[in-house]
Amino acid sequence: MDQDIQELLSQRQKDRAFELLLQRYQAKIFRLVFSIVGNRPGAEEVTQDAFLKIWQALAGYDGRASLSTWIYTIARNASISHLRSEFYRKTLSLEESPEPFAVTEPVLNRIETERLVANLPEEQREIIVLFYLQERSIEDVAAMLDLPEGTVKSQLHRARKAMAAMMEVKR
Amino acid sequence: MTCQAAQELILESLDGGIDKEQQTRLESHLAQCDVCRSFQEAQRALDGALADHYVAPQLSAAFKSKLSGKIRAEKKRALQEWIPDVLHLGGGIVATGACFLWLPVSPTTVLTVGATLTLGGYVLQTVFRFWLEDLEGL
Repeated sequence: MDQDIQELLSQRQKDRAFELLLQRYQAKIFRLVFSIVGNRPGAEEVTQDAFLKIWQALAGYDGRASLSTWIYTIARNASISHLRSEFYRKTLSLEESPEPFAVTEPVLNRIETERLVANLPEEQREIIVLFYLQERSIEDVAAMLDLPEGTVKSQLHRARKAMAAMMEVKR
Repeated sequence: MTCQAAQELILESLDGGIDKEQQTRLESHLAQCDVCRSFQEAQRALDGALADHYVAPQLSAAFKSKLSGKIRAEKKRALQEWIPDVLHLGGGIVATGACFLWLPVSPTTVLTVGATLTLGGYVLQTVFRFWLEDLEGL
């Protein structure tokens, strides 16, 4: 899929390769980062940092991992260090709620949905959020998290069952 | 069909769909199983709520120009990092050349001493720079 980018890299056309890569991955990386960071301004900043890191390291990309795996790993690591630095700076105030999502008239309201998701184990939470942000593509989620598709699917099912059970308890 | 199999199919249908034959088997199970019917209702409600809640955000219009600015700054910084090296080696070559032309010492001695001082100075400068970077990183 990224053969064209790798070809440009082998011809030492780093800027053109990066341009193509940015075009292809910016939306996906932003969603991945958003699923971890949880707010839009922070996610955009981290996405920029991740792409800057990718640009810096691009010439040294050795092709051992697929380009997408390599990019997603950089983005995930950038998101995690952002979360850590935010934690240490203690700038996350209680008022800073996650991005207001578009909400229609739901059966479950926004707070209930957030609470259900927040109570899931970390991996399941990440998978369920990414699944919806990535327009239900299990393939994309698996590539982004570097997991087999079967694992993503089974974790997704576990998460759905766990949330349904939590809804049941609430009633 | 067992309830467990039916519930797996319900979850599968939310992931990306099930085929017609599976759909038929599921429907006939649901027609006679209240537990699985309410499981399906709960899962559909949950799925709808999650789909409404997690809408993919869009990058701002300024994203690309900001990133280009950061990359330009990074290119400039990388270029500036070479300046001390270039100045040092250039200075060493010019000084050695001047000594070679004007000092009444054998050319071999001038070249040996010049090269040793230039390279030795370069190593010291590099070590000093790494040391400073370590200090900044603390």
